[in-house]
Amino acid sequence: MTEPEITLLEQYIDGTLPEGDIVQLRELLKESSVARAMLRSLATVDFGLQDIASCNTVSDMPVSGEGTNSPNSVHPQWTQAAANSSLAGWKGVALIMTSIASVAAVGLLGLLAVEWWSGDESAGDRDSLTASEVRLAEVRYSHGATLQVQQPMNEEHDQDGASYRMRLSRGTYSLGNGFVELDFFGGAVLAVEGPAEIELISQREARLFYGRVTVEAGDAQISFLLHTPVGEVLDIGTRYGVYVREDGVTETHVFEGLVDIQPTESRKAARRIRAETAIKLTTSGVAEALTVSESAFPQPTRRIANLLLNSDFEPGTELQVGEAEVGRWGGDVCRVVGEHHGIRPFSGDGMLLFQSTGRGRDGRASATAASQLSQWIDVTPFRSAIAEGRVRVKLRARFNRVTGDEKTDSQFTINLESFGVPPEEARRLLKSHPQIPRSRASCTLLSDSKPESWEDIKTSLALPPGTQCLQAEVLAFENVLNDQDDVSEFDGHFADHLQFELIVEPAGSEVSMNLQ
Amino acid sequence: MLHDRAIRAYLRALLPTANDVDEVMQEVSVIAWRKFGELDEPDNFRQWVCVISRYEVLMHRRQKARDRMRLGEELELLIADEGIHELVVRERQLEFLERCLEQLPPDRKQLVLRVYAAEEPMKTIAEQIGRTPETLYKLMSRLRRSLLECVERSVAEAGQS
Repeated sequence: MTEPEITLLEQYIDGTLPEGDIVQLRELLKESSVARAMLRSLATVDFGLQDIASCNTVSDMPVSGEGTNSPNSVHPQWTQAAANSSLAGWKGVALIMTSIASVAAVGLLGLLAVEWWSGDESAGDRDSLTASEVRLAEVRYSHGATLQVQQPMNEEHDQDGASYRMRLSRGTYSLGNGFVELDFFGGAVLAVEGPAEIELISQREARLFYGRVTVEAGDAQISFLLHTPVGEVLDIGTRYGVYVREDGVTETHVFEGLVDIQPTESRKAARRIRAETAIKLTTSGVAEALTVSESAFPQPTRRIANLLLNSDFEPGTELQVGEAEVGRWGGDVCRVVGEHHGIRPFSGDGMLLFQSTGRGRDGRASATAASQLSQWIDVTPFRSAIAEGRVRVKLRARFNRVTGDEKTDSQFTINLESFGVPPEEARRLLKSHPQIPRSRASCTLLSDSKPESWEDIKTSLALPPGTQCLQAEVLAFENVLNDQDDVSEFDGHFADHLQFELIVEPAGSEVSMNLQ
Repeated sequence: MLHDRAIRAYLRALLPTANDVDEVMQEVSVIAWRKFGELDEPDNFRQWVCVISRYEVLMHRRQKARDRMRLGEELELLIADEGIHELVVRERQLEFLERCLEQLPPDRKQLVLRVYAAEEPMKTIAEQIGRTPETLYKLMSRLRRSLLECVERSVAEAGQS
């Protein structure tokens, strides 16, 4: 093939082919089977490089640190297109979900209109306000309209210089429609749905004049105080929704934990509201019980990190030889050890030692090339968000091994697989049909021979609608020498500090959906 | 899904962007899941999924019929059908790609990963390494071709040994 012909193929793969050249490309591909094969070869390399880059292997990292990870779907030339995509429909959501949440959210900010305006100068002359220079929260996500800024609002470059985040100072903000997610620097996340008016008072305090807000208070040690016309709502390790009507009547719906409402009228006693209950209060203090309705409130991003149990392989962690279960590790013969072969755990006092590719109690080798350990995760509590394509999961793991020699195996892999059946059925099906996972994400590390530093890989998976469970798996491969005898198959191969996170993307309430 | 990477690579030749690959792969996974019971011979799984993929590509592209950069249905089918028979080789090529990448000089390897990580625009990367975007595209083209030669050679050598 000639140089110009290969260039045509590359431009087509890259998405940089000039429109006028498409006819020439068609002719070339129609006439030449070599050109067609070359197109497929170039596509294979393109996909493979993207896959490797998105796997985001970070070498020589003795200390962990959450970096940005751009997953499989965003090609260099199409970053902007991905950020500009509509959120409508499953495919749009799936596409956005494959971008890192903050980048997607920030990308959307430039496009979606949200009517923000400053309505309160109660804090005094803005120019002289030191307080207004203190950033209280960051707009993490926006959906619904154009952003208009009249309040002191600060744009800051992200580290990569590719996008902006909006940081909000003290003041009152009005939201015409759509919804925004505010990440308060004190730890709480608020999803605000328009029409709404809210005053940001401090990093742990806000006042809702009217509108719908969901508060995800996060850490129970740090409370968030929300003022409403009927009183102060103080969370106690809570997720709750507040709806303030324009006449001041206020509904408080508690989804998790507890909240205390201290009525504005000081003579009234504080009311404690527990999970799955709701109350309506008038400004004169008349109370009425309601049926709690989570769907009537906007849903902020939720990050659930405690679904993979014993992921730090601390002493006492049970590792079953044989089948894994929900919340329990199972697989080939592995052991939790402390410092071993001069290698210290990445964190805590324990780490996972891969010992055998077999499952026999004697630890004998099997013909398979990998020692694998997995755990099942039930995701049915998130079924409605999964059905809407708003859930993705991330898995990160650290690996290390002895220096060894030229015969020392070096490959580690992490897998995430999703299934549309309950864990028990998925386990049964997997035995006969290993192909059944509904979707899968994987990342492989060819480790270095430097035991002084742990290496770090991660992968992420958007859960297809219907997903009921996941399998998270760590593997060490005999990629250099597949021992078949009784000697230890691995010279000293370790995993530690697995981090699993389930992320539910934000969404508007059913009320807003019905209005659209 | 088993052979996920090879099938994604197969789709990549038939679709204009990586995002399209993700969208179609999502559909393919769901359909393969639903119809798994219809697969008589598990050894034919790869080919079976490719047939599903081929159909889903056509559906996807029909939805975007106004795309002026389409190759045309007949040609797309030809490329798809020829690709089904290459899946094993493509899978092998993907296996060797990481090793070939390791053989690049470290700065070149880092550059490839940086460009493909897609966290920065090409223009920004070009500026930071003191090149124009055009020369960066040319450099990337050269690197990709050398990687392609490496994986093809590696697969051929592995086949001989």
